Amino acid sequence: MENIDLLYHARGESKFIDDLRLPSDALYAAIFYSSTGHGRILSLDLRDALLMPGVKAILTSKDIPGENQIGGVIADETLLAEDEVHYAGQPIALVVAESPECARKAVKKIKVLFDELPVVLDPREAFRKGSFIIPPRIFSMGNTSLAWDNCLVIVEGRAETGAQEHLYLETQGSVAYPTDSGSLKVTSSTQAPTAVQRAVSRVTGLPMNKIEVEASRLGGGFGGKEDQANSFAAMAALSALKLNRPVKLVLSRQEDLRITGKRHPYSSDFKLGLDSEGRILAYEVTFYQNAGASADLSPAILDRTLFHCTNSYFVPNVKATAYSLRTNLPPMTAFRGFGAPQGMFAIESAIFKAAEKMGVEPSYLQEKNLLKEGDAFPYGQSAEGCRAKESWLAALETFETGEIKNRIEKFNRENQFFKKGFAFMPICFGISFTNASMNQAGALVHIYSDGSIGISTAAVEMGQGVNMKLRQIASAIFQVSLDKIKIEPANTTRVANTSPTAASAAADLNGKALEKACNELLERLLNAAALKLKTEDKPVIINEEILLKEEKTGLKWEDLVKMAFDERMDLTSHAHHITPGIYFDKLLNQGRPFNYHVYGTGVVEVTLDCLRGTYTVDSLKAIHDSGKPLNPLIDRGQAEGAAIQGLGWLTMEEIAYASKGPLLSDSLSAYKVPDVYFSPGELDIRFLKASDNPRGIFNSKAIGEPPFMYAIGVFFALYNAIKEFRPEVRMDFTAPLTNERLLLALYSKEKNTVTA
Amino acid sequence: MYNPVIFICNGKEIRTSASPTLTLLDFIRRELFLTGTKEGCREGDCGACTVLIGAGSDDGSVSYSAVNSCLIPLGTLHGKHLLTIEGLPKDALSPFQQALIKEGGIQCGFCTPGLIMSVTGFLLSEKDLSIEHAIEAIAGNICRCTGYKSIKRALESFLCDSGINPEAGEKRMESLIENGFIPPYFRNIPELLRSIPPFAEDPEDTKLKPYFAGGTDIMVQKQGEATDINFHFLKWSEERVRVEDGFIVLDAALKVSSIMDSAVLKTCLPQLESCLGLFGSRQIRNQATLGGNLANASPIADLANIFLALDGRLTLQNGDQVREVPLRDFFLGYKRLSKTESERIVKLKLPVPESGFFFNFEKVSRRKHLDVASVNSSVYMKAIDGRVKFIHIAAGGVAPYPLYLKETSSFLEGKSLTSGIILEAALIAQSECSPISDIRGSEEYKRLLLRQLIFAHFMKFNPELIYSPEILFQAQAPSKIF
Repeated sequence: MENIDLLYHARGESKFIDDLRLPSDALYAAIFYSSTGHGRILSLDLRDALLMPGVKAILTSKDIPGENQIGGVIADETLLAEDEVHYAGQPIALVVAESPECARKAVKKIKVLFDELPVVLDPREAFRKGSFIIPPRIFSMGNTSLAWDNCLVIVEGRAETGAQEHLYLETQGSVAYPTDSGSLKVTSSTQAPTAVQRAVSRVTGLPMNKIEVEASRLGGGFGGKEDQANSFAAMAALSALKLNRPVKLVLSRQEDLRITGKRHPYSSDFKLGLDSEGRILAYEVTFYQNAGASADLSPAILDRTLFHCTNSYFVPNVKATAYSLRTNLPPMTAFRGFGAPQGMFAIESAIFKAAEKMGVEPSYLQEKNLLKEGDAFPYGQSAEGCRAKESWLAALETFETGEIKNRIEKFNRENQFFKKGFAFMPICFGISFTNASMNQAGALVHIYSDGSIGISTAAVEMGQGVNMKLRQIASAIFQVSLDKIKIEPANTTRVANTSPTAASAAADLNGKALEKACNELLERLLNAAALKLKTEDKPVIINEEILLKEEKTGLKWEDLVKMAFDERMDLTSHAHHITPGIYFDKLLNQGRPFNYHVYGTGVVEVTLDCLRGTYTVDSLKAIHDSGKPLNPLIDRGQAEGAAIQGLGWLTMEEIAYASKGPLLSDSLSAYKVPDVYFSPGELDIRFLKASDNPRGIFNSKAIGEPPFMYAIGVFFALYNAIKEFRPEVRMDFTAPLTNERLLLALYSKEKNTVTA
Repeated sequence: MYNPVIFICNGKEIRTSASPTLTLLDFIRRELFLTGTKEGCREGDCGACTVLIGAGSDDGSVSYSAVNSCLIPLGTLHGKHLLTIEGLPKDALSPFQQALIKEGGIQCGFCTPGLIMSVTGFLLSEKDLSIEHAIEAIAGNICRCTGYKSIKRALESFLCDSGINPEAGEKRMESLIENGFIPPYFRNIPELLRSIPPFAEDPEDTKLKPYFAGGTDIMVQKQGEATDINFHFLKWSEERVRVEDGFIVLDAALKVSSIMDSAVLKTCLPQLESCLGLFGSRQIRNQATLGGNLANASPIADLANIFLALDGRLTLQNGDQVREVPLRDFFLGYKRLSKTESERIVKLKLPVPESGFFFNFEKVSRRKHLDVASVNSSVYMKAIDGRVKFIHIAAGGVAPYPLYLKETSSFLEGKSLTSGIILEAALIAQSECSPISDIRGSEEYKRLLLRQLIFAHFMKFNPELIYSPEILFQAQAPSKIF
């Protein structure tokens, strides 16, 4: 099975935005952005910059012919700042010049004076000031206030998780070309061509039919290009429209780090109550989401936090409150997991603390409270096809966790300065856009007269292998070899009004639409074959041969297509798919928001160097329920990659901002992500056997996001290792657990309260 | 117009009058339209722009190094062979490319060409083709998609059955051609390189120009501006590390990788090679120089730290004038050196270690590899029957410049080592330093970490000295003392 994309990648022939050959009259844009977190613009002096040789124009908000607005969910975000800036990195002006260097040099010549205003970076401070993006969201089930009385153990605490930079290796970028009849063609490194089309339309004032948006492939997205590609495409489009020349805007790494939003930092308060058996009776949690300066996708991310606040556990009484808070940071945005990891980290912290208090292992409480078939989630849906316990038990057996425990105990007895720790991490992740209307997709299939096939959908290939999966689907239906099938770049003129490639759902949604379109064409072709063979029976295609009653007819795929063409048959089909049976009432916060859930259990093992405060992640293992994986190689790669990205989030990846707002970790020498040495020696993710999923395409399950959350176990594994060295240490649940936090925890003076 | 820079790119000669300070990455992508080489960070921290540079030697062989093309100015390419992803065999994928595809080691594809170039460099230049060395060779290549496991699988699967001649050199090269890792035109490269005339330096240009050694720092600091600066390019030293009059002598223009490979150092200071494995990445070590790391005077410079402890002495040269300065007196303040603008570091001399010496280097950074230290520290000592004959300790990241811990070292000299003495020494070290809170850690953390690293030195020297964690807790928490 050949994944054609990989062949081009391996030869360095794949074309990303910055690789496109441009016409000789192309210009290059660079962004002048705010250096302060909050301020009124007193003056903006462009004179010196305009005098720089090669500079063609400098555009500000005044040059926008349409609306200076790119907020998709809430209209609260300008493309270019007007009178005020609300975060450091906020775009103020665009320099368009003959070369990128020239544009960047001119950017340095722009002078701006700010009247500095108070900067708020902390979501709790924003809460006290009442700076809400949306009104509070509350999910509840049962009655927590009544439940506390029945609890033998109640623990309370705080959990904090930090921001995370996507670090897609290809930075944000776009090229816009003026085309015939006052139209624009925009190529963008975006996960959401339709969202780009809307944003460009809004900013330029052109109707959507005059804007063609194409995304051929991305050098990584991870959510960072779901909403935030819009502004850069709109800037390129605005420049192209104004100057009537092609304009390229590709961010440097530093610009990308400074300007774009990250995973939302959360600060959360939890309260968990359990009975004497360790059954969780009640859970209250309050999430303070640091949304940054504008809404972006924060409201949807906030909801997904709530949807996942009880992770893989059944909790009869839940009250979960979530606040999305406006601060002076870049607008935080989608990132693999989309709010769920933050929610899961809070309940895992609560369980860890409860286990500590009860003198049991956290895994005892985790296992005891796993969801069972039919158990209710706090939002009305109940667990169907629940594989929480199944994956847990499979992990115990497959990875011989009893052995791991014995081995670790022995190691810890024999070593004074090195301690091992391990932790379990069960996951449960809902699949669907929680905004029901987004669960739709279209597919356009052409069979060309030579028998080759071209497929267009809204799925954007960004490394997750969706192109290959789509080819497999078409190949299975038509029974033709993969090399006959080409996946076209996502393009708004071929498939319109599409949802972003996000929520792990691209293969599901686009695959289902494709299945439908292929089946329609197959039906036509087989009818044509029956006519030609003069039979009432239905022929079938196997391996490009037309068979009738299991006998070869001599007719091949190419013959059939040629014949259908000669018969003037339509060899093109378009189909539309919607996920059936999902709905959600946003007032009651009840419904059936998810098509299905993905389950799994991870086990993480670490060794802590208690002298230096450094560690190695020895292993991350998981039993993952992927249904019947459509492509096990791709799915394994997704699972492994997600898990390592998660390990980074919880350990070394730390975003730091100066008190006035500018990003301090604004280079790859300051912001570190996992490298080959960090990657655990044992990274072993296996698929749960004998699983299926009638709701997924060909019984598969979505794979992109869920495995990210196995990594949460690393925090608790490290905490356990600390306690092996100093049993009395009680550490805050603050991630990332950097080397610094570890060492300070290991050698804290005050024995019981470590603010690490 | 500039004097032409001539080199071989893949199989073809390139002659260009572009500015010699133009970043090689930009030249490759924009002038040669070879867009397989990617820009990921422009600071040598991701490896997406990795290319190979082959330098011919008198014996006709060409030695290849993987480098970050974002940190290389075009001018240094003159007379060299540049290999980009496009220069690999066209007809069929190499066994490594095939293995990557088979094992799922490619996802978005953006880091892939750089990764493949690093592995090709490994195959061309590494003596020991073990999986460990292969991993070391790709440690400077960041992949955000795969989590690396599938890449490691690919390395393992092709290395176990590659048909590559383990003997480095010409036979290796032949076997790489035969097995489809590199194209046959590699056979012609030595001849093509010989035909390139030496670079025509402009004789009239006598202006004082800044010296440019490896460029791994200046190309980052002067991003975009470097093309406007007229550098005086220094050539990487081919001179071997040697012993003269009781001193190990290292040319300042030695690459870090050449220091690691030095036979003399492997004998006299066998610990050094693994210490330097924590310096940058393979690509950076193939570029960064000893002199550059010292002249840079970064407070956390690893080489400065190591050679402070090893009692290094610098030779500075200005025309005919030559003087020697102990490294300990070289660093005066933040980025301030005991060196005039026209003086150049030419040599570093280290006393040949006495038998029975102990050396140790500790470095803690956010990520173990390819990262800047929060704190680093080196110790060089000799003890006879537990009594310290001499000791030198250096610490980085805890002062505005690479710090020699003078008080701590002199306190320990002549002492009989006990856990109590080491505790005391650690306290002195903490009082000698003045860390600041920054992106690499808080002041409190750095103080604590320095103490821990001093313990680590002595634990390695003699584990009995720090026989129980209780000893560590006896030392007071640093924030309470100072």
